[in-house]
Amino acid sequence: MSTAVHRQTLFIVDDDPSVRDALALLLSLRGYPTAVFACAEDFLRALEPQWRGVVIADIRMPGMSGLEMQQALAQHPSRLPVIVVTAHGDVAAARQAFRFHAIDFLEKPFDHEQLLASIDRALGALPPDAASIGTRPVATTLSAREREVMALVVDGLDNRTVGEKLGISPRTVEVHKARVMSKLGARNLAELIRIAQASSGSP
Amino acid sequence: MILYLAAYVGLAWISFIHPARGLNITPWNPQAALAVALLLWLPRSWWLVGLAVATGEALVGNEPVPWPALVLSAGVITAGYAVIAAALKHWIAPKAALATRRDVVLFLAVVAAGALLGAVLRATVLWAMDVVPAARIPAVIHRAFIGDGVGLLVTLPVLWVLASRERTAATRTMLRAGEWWLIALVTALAMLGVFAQPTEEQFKFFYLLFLPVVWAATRFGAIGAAWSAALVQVLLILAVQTASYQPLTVFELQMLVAALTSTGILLGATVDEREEAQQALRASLRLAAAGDMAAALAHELNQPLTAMSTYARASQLIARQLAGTPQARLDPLLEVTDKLADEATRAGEVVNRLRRFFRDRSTELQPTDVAALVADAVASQTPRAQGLGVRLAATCDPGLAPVWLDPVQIAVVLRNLLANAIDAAAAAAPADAQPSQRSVTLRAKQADDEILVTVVDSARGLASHEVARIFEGRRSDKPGGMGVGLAISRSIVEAHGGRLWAEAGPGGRFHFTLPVTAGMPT
Repeated sequence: MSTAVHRQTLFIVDDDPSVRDALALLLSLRGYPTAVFACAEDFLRALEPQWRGVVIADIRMPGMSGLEMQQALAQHPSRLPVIVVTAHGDVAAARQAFRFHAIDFLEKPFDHEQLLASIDRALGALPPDAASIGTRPVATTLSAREREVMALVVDGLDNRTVGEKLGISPRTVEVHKARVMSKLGARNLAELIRIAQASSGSP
Repeated sequence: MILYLAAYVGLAWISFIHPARGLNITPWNPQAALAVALLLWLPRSWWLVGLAVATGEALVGNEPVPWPALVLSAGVITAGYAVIAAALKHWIAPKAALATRRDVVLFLAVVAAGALLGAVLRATVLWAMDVVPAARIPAVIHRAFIGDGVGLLVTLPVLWVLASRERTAATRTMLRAGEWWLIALVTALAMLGVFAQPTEEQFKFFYLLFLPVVWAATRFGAIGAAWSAALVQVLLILAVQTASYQPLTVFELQMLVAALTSTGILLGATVDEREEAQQALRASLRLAAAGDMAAALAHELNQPLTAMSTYARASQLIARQLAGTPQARLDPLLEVTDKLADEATRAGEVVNRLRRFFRDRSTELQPTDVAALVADAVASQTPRAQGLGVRLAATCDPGLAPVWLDPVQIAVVLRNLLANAIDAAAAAAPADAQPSQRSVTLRAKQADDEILVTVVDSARGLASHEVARIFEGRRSDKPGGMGVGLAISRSIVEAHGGRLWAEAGPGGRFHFTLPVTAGMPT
């Protein structure tokens, strides 16, 4: 595994052997060189500065988590971009992943087209999506109430708490949230978080 | 309209007993409740109420009142009812049950203040028109206050119950309970006990009537108290009619009924509140446990599901690379692997949505065609129903409005209710029974601003005492069931702003509602 990896390689870090194997199979059939690691520690030990490519990392792993590994990578000279995949996504994890400039945050089982698009984006084959997301006019598209709901939802508060803060029912919060998502074209909460972070200019 | 007019005048006539001397003011005016109820639910019908009051005043009663006084008095009485209806609407939501102490206290206060206001206005009119001398004004106020007050107090809660499908269903459930009929019997015996006494002793024994009302309140909550107080009132009126009484005594008896009813409803609401709090606590404990399990399961299931869908996509790529295979032979394989990947993703989606729902009750709302959702759910259960020899049918009213809902979650609710009903129907009758004895029917219809979905099966249904317990999820009648399906379904529906409830048999009956417009931001 630690043979010199000079071409753009996909580094798959996942503790589940089946997921690891299946992903490596699919992506290598797609023509990408792949390398698999069973834990974050193994990957960081093997990592060399000249490696190029994309890391596809699970969050929940024994030992170091995928998010901690992502932070460690941000300090590393290789500057490898990271796509976070998780079977246990929540708002806090997505926020943290994007704060450390994750390319994407995908919930398992994910849409493979979306994964491939994210990989291409990370490899520079597609224009960065973040730029286009950043130009979505959050301030002008949304009503004041929708912006309030969005800010609190992106903070990771649940509907009941958001409703209590704004003096509306949890169901109304849900309806506002659904409208925000459709107005901004966010397909899931992770995308909404990314849009919010891009529009506020800070994580 | 005619019906209302007839009902109003009819009630006024029936209850025209023991009027105060020289005035058409009776000790019990149930028609007042009818008028307030109409104004409460159809505020634009004030003219009808006014007409009914005038007709009632003109037709019923044995004291002729001059025409101008009659019209003015009817106007004033209608205005009084309108004020009461407006106050009730303002402080207590018309749809809310009288099931919290706050609601009941407000209800009692509004009824008392409203009846007093109406009585004062009425007396003023009668005095101004020279029908009644000033000296009798306090007596008129007293009588009118008690008559309207007791009429509203006893009758309005019953109408309130009848105005809601859910509370009407609770009433039917109560009527199927043997205990209710025992309470009714005790009420009748207590009434006999009271009226068997010499007249002057009767007041001393009135407290006997508190026993069945309190019993009903503790056992069946505010609904039980409302019905049992109404029963006491009806029996009391019958008893008073058969005996000869001074009107004054009847008015005093009505004061006691007022106290009895207030006590009963207040106690019933307290019982309801406590029961509700206990159920909410049990539900949240159960859902917390189910949520932990869902979170653990989500992680355990999502890994293999991810691997599965990824392998499926990979096998498509491998198939495409098979040189020399004609496309026509390849296509079925590609199609099947496509479905395989999609199904694995769909399974993961259900798991993830349920996990998110348990974590923070979140839903992902989108405008959804309920009829299509129902059709999908029915289609998913049809093979199982056919396998078990159960006839499954669904009818949706045409033109159901699209509803903002989470299609994945509501589909879980529909499948859960249908699967339970199919199992119950299959277990209840032998396989060779008539098809009508092994059937499940789903009906979706629009009612006001809600969509009401009802699932009925041909099994024996629930007994009254099982109706509340069925949601506790402690045990399941199904060998493979987790027993929490109903509790989950109920909390999903509640997160959508709707309600889910069971009704006692015959036939298993579950209903749930989804608001069409409520909570929609504009």
